[in-house]
Amino acid sequence: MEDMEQDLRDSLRALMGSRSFLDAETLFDSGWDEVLEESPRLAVRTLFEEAGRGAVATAGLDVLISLALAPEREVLRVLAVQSRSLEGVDEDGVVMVERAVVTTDPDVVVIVDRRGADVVGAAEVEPGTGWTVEQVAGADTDSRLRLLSGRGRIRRRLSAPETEAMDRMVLLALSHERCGAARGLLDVAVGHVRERHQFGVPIGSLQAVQHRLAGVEVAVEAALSSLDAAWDTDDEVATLVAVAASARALSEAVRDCLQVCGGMGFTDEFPLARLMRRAVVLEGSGPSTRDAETAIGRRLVESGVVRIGEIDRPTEGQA
Amino acid sequence: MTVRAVERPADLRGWFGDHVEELRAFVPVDGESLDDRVARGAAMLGFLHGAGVMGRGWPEAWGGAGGTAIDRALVYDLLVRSGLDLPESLAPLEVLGSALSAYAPELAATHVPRVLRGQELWCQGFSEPDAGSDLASLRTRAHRSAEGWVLTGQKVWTSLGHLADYCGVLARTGTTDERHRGLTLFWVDMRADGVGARPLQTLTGEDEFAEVFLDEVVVDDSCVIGEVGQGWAVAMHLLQYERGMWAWQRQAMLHQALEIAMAHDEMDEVPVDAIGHAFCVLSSVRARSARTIERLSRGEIVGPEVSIDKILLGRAEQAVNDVVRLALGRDFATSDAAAAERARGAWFYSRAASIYGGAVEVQLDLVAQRVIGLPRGTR
Ligand SMILES: Cc1cc2nc3c(=O)[nH]c(=O)nc-3n(C[C@H](O)[C@H](O)[C@H](O)COP(=O)(O)OP(=O)(O)OC[C@H]3O[C@@H](n4cnc5c(N)ncnc54)[C@H](O)[C@@H]3O)c2cc1C
Repeated sequence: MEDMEQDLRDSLRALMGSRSFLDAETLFDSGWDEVLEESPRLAVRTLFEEAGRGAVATAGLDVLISLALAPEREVLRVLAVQSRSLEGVDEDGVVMVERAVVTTDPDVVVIVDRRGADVVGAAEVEPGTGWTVEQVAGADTDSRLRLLSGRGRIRRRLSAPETEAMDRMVLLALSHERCGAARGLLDVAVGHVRERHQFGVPIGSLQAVQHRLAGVEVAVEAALSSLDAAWDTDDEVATLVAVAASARALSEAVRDCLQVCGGMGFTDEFPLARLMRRAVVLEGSGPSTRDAETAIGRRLVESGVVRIGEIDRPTEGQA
Repeated sequence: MTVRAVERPADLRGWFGDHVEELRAFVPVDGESLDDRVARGAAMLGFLHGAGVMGRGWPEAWGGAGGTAIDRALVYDLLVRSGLDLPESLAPLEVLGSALSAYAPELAATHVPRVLRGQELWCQGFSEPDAGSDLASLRTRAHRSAEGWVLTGQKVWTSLGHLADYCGVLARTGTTDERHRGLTLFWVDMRADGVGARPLQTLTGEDEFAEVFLDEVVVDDSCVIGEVGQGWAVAMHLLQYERGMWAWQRQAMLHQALEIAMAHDEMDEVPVDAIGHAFCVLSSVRARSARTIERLSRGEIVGPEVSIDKILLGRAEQAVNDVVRLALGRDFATSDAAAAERARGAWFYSRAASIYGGAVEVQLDLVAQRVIGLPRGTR
């Protein structure tokens, strides 16, 4: 299993190679969708972590939701998150989209109305009047950001369970990507502070530097464990915990890895730069730590219950 | 020694459901002293052992039911879910019991069953007045004489030291220059001649830990845990459990503490994101610790990465207890009610979670140097 995972990661890395964007076609050609069918957890974990680590934008989320919503592959459904987009819109009504981020020029968009970390609804939407896709540089030219605006017509509203299941996948994928990005930043920073000498010593031997980077490691590991736990259950609080922890890992990595790389970290040709710009896009493309923690807190207050779980896979009855 | 065979419930979860009434006798009571808490925990263990519940996850040779650390972890979950706390003797059992199992099977066969039955309490004598974070500089000495090993020195902040029956004492059998290479772990009877323990009151108001004095205390070879001079390796083995299993026990208790706080009137006043934050950190430590326990159960050696569990636990302890504090509002500082006293005690104790078992700064050093590979060096 571990070997298989490593093989998969290696082939994904090779696929990403010098690309800065991995489109849906390339993903299908690579057979990633078959891995997804067999083991969603493995497929999502490997693709998104590697994408994060390599600062490569992908159409992974689009492929993920397309396969989740319709088994036929001809039509790529493209994800667009727009808060309040479905508010007050009836069954086959018109949706107003304003500068929602998409990866490609879509035929069908899946609009998700997410507020903070809460998803309120989702619908498949077709282009209507004034439908435009504008390419922007944003914080990261390599991310190939496109902004969708205009009116769309609802083709189909997704049911609540369908919406929840889809959003769970989207949030887990994004969280893996954020962890990958944090790990990518950490790897660059660790490499740098081991080599860079000041005061006659590698700066990585200074405790203040060590503690910043060890802190990032702790945050990344906490997030990866939370993701593991979230895959084990369909409890939405577990997903929110993973979202919060991954968002925290990435923001700590952004803060601390840049700091310890000093002027070099600020230099565009140093590998940190690309990761930093991509990280800013990833930070903005889903709920923040605060969003997720607020949503968790609200659920706990509403239910008044903090469930003490039960450890999995007990060898009960063996003795 | 023969261990009486107990009948073990096949369905552990079902057993807890069926025995709610009997278990109620062991639920923590307000205003309970530490001595009473220790006694209640011992009685609880006696009951649980008689029912065949305690002992899961410990080898049959030491009165257990076989199985691994995961089985123990499940018992802890179920106990806490039943509204109970974990008996005080279980923490030192996890810490020292695993070392005894691995390095001194005969001692384990004698003493582990006693703890499981609620008949014995242990303590861990590592820290000294001049050797805290720098444990390898400790000065308690052990030298050989005709009667056996003779131990002389002083330990401090020994949890439950004044109540314990036995102590795992880390002592120097080599020279000071040898640092960690000259250490040996000994099993010391707290009632032996030359052993003295003076309780020390903690910030929580309780006499939770003690100073332990060793004045020419004689122990024989059977009380050497591991080989002479191997004390550091034994201590490192033990730390996997101290940092791994202790985290598991504590996260279960912290879930309970948060649940109790949720029922509090002033919970409305607590910002929801603070509650969410505490729960999130707590969930991370649970998820992380579950992985560690799986690894321990597979017989893997858990290396310096276990410091990550320890760091996360410290944060979870503090975040959860901060929420409990907020939930109590003004009462936290001003009330004499038992609930406020308990919450204050827990809050103060949570501040120590980033100190005991190795301060968080030391854990971060370990993560930096032994997990992500930064060079050792200047401070
Ligand atoms: C509630 C409680 C229970 C305990 N129970 C036990 C027990 O049962 N058995 C036992 O043997 N011991 C026990 N201890 C002792 C505990 O293990 C020590 O307190 C701990 O190892 C720290 O040692 P110290 O207190 O001497 O702190 P010091 O070593 O004096 O350090 C003080 C502070 O300095 C900082 N510091 C220290 N070293 C470094 C470093 N390398 N880099 C950066 N900062 C540093 C840290 O902030 C640290 O908290 C207990 C302690 C407490 C508080």
